[in-house]
Amino acid sequence: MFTRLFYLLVVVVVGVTSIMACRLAQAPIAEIGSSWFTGPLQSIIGAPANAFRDVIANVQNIGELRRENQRLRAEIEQLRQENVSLPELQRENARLREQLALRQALPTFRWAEGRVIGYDATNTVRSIIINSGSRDGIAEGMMVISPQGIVGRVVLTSPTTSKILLITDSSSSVNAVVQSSRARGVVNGGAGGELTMRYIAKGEQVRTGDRIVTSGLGGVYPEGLLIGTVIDVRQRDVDMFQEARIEPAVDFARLEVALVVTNHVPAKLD
Amino acid sequence: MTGTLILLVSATLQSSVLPRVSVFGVHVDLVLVLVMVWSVRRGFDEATVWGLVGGGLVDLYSAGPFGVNVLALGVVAVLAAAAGSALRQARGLVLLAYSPFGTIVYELLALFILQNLGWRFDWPAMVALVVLPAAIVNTVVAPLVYWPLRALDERLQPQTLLG
Repeated sequence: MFTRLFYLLVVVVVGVTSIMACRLAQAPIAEIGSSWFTGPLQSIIGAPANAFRDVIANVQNIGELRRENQRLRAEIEQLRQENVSLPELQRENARLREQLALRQALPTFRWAEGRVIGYDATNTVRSIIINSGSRDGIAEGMMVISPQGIVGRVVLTSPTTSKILLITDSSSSVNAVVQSSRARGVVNGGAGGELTMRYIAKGEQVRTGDRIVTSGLGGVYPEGLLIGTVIDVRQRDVDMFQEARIEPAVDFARLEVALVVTNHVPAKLD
Repeated sequence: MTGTLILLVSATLQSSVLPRVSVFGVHVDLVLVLVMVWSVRRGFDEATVWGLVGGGLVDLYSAGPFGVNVLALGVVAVLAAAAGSALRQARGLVLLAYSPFGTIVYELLALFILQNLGWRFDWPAMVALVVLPAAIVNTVVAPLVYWPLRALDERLQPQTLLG
């Protein structure tokens, strides 16, 4: 018991002496101690402690970073998909504008739209297959156009599809007229898919660049529809008629949508 | 059934995909090549069926009158079977020699039938721009079709692919 009291006394004496010494001394012992001893010690221990604290903070942030990463990836994917569909939407927009212009140019026509889903399986016949048929009001003999010009005529229908013989087919004939000079002739398809205007009277004026349109004769196609443009004129002295090679107005290799005119019934002349 | 499926898929490809791949202004007559190869290898019975079925499928994908390709392909198939049976030991070479001949017969026969049904053609231009290029293109493709069909033939013997 005496020993415990002794130690207690020592503690009290030292403590009181320290307090009184700090209060009476000129130099602040606590500040001196902290700047010479505890400060540097804290700096040495503090740096790794700070690093450890950063690690802990980063570990806590990983979950949040992962979520943000996923959100940003999803956003990028959505933007990428929008980027892919944007040109298609622009094309569709341009196509619909062309159709609107066509409707304004030909206000009396009504048409059923069909997307090209196939081509003739043979090399001898030039035709396309569209995904509209009799249940869309399409019948055999109806003419087919596009905003660029005439395409052909319907030769066969099913409820959901139609086969269209193109004007570039060898057996196709369209009564035509040169738009500027009104020279008449017949546009035939050819073996290689080319168009030739034949039976143009020799004295008639036909020049490269002239536009060829339907004349309305024969009753299959009404007058004024664009067929193509003259690229070459052939005329020999021994021939009775002139011939002109025509560049079709429609690019059949790239044709995606065809318009079947449903309210113009071709005249039957037999 | 497998044979019909092969012909159906080929006819569909010939109508929807192959016309976009044009060589010398023509596309591969895949159904014709298949029919020629199988007819050379398998003989008259299967040649007849393949020719008629293949021709019917091509007609379904064509704006020409139905039956044109049935007749034209049927004839070519029978002729191919005759050539194959005459030279059994060298059927690969027979096919190589027959391909241009078979294509020319097929194209000319189809044109002839169409003309008799009211279609009009410039025959010299058709031969120069369609028939001869098609003969070249089909002859080049025939060996590519021959090897897988030969493997199929050897696996199936003596079963048939139709029925």
